Amino acid sequence: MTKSESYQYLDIRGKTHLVTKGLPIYGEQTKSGWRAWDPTRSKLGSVLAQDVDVGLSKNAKVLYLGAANGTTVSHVADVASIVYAVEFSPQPMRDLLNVARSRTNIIPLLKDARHPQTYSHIVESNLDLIIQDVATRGQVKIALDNKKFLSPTGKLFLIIKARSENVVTPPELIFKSSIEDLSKSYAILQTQKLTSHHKDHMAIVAEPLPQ
Amino acid sequence: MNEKDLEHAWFYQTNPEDTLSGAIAIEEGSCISPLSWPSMALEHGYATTPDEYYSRLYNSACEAAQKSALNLTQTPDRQISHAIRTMDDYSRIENELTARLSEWMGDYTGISQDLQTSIESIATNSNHSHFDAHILSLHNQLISLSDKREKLAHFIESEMPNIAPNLTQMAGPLLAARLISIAGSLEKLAKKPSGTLQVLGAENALFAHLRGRATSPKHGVIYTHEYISKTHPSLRGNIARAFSGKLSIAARIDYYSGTLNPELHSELLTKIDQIRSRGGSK
Repeated sequence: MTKSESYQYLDIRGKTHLVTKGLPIYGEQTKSGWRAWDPTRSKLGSVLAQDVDVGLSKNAKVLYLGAANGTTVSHVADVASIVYAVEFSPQPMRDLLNVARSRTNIIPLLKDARHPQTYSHIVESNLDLIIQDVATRGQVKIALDNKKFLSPTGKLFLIIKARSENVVTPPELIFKSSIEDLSKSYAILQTQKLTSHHKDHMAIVAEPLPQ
Repeated sequence: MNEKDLEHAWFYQTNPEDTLSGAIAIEEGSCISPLSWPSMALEHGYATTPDEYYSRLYNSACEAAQKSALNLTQTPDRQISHAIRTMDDYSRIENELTARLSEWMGDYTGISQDLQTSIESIATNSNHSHFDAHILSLHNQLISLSDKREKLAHFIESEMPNIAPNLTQMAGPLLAARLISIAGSLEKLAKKPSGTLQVLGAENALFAHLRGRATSPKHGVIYTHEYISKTHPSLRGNIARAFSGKLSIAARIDYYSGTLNPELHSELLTKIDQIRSRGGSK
């Protein structure tokens, strides 16, 4: 399952798009095997479009927490060698299974990211990247509890959704305390506010600190 | 390779040729910490190449995810939620079409308000215009929609005592179904605090309150029950609190045991009498 291509920029019909190589799945624009990664539909896509290095490299082994309908997962799978896609809710899982049909390097797991022991017998250790986009309270705790899957040189790409932590606390305060709590176990490399398509979200790129 | 570690692996004791046995191990297994499962699988003889390992994992994982997703969605309380939502859709569409029909009829026959009379006048009129058929067809559609809605209501009424006996006895089948549908499932409803159950269906008002822009809502959909709607407004908050308290106990009994406990309802009735006997203030 080695990949010859990563992601890149490409002009499609006069507009520059971030693209990955693979079969289209959600009506995205395509050009000679490449398909556009819509930043309005994917938080990871929108962060990559802002030239942030999130550690998504060719042939990476990835754990994706909060896989949802598999829109972003499909692009990650175009680049990575294997994607363990954890999703808790049965309805989006149906869509994710559809996406996995055309991408056999996606391992769909109907599991709760808050309980990594329920999938530690499946997901391997020493992964290159954890992508976390989970709409629940305790997002930082999930990142800390899932650190054991990460290789010492791996990276964490974490989306903090302020509204899921608490609807009434100002997002700025939530971001600040999230970064503080995460710093106990991870070295923060970069933080990035998301564009207007994804309100009240912050992306954090981090590396695991040695225990 | 440590045998003890291997025992936790999803592929330990699964037949490589049998996708289903892998799926069951994926569903039911657990482990404290992950290990290098792929290389252990090769050593253990579960697969001969990494590609073969991942391909077997893929097949079993897809099977497991599909099966467990179906198990979660195929439950009676989920079907009842769809039934009550469909019922609500029917009545919304009925209302819209009724408004359309009476507007059209008014212009066409000059008779206002009384739909039945004007429909009959069209149906019996021997001087048919080419509009008639369409107006009558719209009318028939309305009858058919209301018929479907009533059938669904009967279905919900007959199913709910099996799905949630206590909740149904207390709230009535339609409100009980509506509470389950808003919460997402009987399990989710049973796990909500009664204060949340009290304002289910009043989310906009609740969040306006949490943001400091409004007073807290007294009740959500439970308002449709006569315990609340037929109580003096100044006492509705009290009744809503007592009602939702008992409803959440009912939901918990329904979810965890499923047997009817009639005392619960009589306790509520006593409580409601007490509150109402205070009389409403001006």
